[in-house]
Amino acid sequence: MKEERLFRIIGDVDDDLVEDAARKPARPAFRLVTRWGTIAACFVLVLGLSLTQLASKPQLLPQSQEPTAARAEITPFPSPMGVRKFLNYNGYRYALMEDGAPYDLSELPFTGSLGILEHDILQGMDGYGDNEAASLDLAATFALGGEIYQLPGYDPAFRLAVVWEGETYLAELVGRVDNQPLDAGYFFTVSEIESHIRRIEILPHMGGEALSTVKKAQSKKLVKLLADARPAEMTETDYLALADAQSAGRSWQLALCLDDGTAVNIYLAPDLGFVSIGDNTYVLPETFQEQWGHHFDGLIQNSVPLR
Amino acid sequence: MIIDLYWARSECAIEETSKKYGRYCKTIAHNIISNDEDAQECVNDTYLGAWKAMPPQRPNRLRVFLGRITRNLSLDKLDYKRAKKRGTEFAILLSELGDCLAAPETVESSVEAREIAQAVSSFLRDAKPEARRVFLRRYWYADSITDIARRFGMTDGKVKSLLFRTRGQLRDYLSQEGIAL
Repeated sequence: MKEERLFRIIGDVDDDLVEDAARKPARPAFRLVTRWGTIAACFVLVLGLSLTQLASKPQLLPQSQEPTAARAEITPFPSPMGVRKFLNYNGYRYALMEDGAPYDLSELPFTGSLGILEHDILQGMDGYGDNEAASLDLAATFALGGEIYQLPGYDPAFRLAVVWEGETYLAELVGRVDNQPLDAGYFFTVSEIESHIRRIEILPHMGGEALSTVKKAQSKKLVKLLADARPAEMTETDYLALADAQSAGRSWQLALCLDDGTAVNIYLAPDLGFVSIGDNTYVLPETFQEQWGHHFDGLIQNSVPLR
Repeated sequence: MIIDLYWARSECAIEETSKKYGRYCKTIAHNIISNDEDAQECVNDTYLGAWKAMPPQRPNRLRVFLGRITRNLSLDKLDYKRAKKRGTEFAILLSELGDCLAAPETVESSVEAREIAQAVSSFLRDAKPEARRVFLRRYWYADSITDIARRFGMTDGKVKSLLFRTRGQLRDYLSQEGIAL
């Protein structure tokens, strides 16, 4: 049996590679994100305006970073050590925004701690078998010992502030800790994206320059439609079809640009009728193709994920 | 150092190995044969194998050395037909590896296992660290998709997608290198 032979052969790959894969995923050292994704472009626009012109929400800008017009490619997990920075709170999983870059939120009053991140998910990763910490509340792969606060103006179900070693970080809802599907309606309700959206940018799946922009009024309509998406029960065939769509340039990244200068990035495969929001994949409402399919016609992405 | 204990023919070598690497070996064995009793037997045989191998061998990385023995013993003990019938995680894992096999007519020659292992190592060295680690967790340690997802903070779907792409790339790489299995 050839598969078994290959499995045995893989057993003889170089020791250092095997050891590297056994090592506890290292906690990424603090660093500023130097790459800029979609969010950067949103910053460029909002910085041209005064805060009084904007702000129904505080502006959320990572500190020590000058906005730039240049856009770089982004990846879903940009941490250098390959470990996503995330935390568990109240049964939900939150990913650190901007890969854990600190934000200057000194003007915002934080009151009433929501808890301290006390369980180290990375610690559990050096063992074998179940990593119990991964399913615990107040567990994290980053900012261990940090204190969670409500971010003024935001539902803590959507975004949280984490204060750790004198810096403030932001975390955004991506899924449920028990990995059960997160209701799309719930995500859009707690995030209030429909009220705060300024536009939607359509980008290549891997990021880069916006290929098309949907204006505010239309963006609100699209958000309303996305909220009606239902969790997909993904089969192996679906995963393969999604991978095919990505490789064929038929999957797009949508940046939902908000009035606080940030963007929520989702991934959409219009032909298949799938949309990925946070850690979940959903089936788009049937009316999507008819109403929105033409927005993707003629768009071409040069850089696609390899298969 | 545990290796020195083996070389000194001290029986403490096995005790220390069991303390430090017992759980690690058991997990690998269990991932492959999905049976507690058989897995423990493989682990015990691993200690015996290590005892026989050292000396003369003096592995640079004892952990990998032991894991490799456990892996091979577990494969020897695996009842493939039964595993396939029961649809075990390992049977699924093996079927996934079919994606890495090129059609026979697309390659020029068969080569020795050691050469293929070197080619796989070269491929993995060039792969992105995340893809490499996920691949090895799956096909060296025989971890379940769910365990890998937890380890790297991903969803099951993302792990599957990443593995799918890496298998395809490995198939293309082996084909380019003229390697058939």
